[in-house]
Amino acid sequence: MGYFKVEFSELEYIYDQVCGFAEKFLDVPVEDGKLKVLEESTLYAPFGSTPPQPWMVFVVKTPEMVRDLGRFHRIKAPVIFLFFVNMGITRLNTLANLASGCAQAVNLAFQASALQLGCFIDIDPPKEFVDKAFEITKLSKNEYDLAAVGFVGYPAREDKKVFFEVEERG
Amino acid sequence: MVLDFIKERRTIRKYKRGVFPPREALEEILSVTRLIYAQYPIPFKLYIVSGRTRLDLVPFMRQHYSIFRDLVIIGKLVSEEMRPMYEKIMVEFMKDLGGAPITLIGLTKLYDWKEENWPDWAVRNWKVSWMMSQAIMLVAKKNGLDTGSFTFSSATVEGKILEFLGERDLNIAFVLNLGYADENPLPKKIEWKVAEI
Repeated sequence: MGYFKVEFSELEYIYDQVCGFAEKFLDVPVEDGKLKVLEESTLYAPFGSTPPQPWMVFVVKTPEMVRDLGRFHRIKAPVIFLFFVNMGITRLNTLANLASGCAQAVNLAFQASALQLGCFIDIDPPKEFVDKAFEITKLSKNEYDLAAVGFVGYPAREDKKVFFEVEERG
Repeated sequence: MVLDFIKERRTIRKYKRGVFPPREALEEILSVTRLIYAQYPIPFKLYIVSGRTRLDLVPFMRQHYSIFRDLVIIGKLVSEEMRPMYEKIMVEFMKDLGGAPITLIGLTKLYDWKEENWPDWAVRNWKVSWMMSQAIMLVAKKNGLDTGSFTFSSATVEGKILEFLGERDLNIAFVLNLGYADENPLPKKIEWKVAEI
């Protein structure tokens, strides 16, 4: 017993072979039933601060709103999840909340895979996108930070594999 | 099924001692961290610590106040009648950090904890590290394993651990216990909702 160390810089990129993330999506809507499951999956992430609610999740799904927001990002998908987190009293609080927001995004990616959907997570989207996200959600930049964005839809590439064997059907 | 283990994941503070996860589960955990890394390449190392080495590290780790802070926060959420049992669990936890057979330590390049404004690269490294942490927790749960994280934001304690590991250029992003739960924490009450627009 002891420890072993994994040097990630030495690993080859295996994204194309096995990754569940998608970057291109079909212009096909995501069913409401699947959306509800995806939404629920985002509510169960660890959080480092005490209540009140350390985050706000928005699902942008109306076509006009998706188009309006989507203009500012290279990824085009029928549904966009916005993971906002509270700015903490200290930087440490904010970092803890950012970690929670990113954990929510990971939940989304896993759940999307299980529903045969693709997901692209952006943790540092373009400034114009962030500005628009704040505008449409009417949140204050003094109170919230955008931790991550999740683009969801049916992946355009049929050979994309998922994190797990498909265990659910929507 | 995926939603089940997302919902069932809890932060575990007491583990079955000496019960090690199967190698296949550890390999799957490593695979998922590689997947995240492939999508979001950052400076990153993952230490998988067990046995004597873990015991040697425990005295460093338990010095840190953030563990005590966690205990206080969680303690406030526990009802009066549950508090004695909770306190007993926490005292046990502090002895050897829950007795987990394995502790995972994720390292990346971060910034000064005391600084309010972190550069974008440091925030990105932090975010990706915690994406890995969450992915590990979910894959662990999928394999019937449990996890519990604690954070380090003390340069002094962090420095001691890094020195122990022989690391000079990276910081500790997360520390994650891994094993089989020997407790059954209360289910989470989630009353928050997602807003649709």
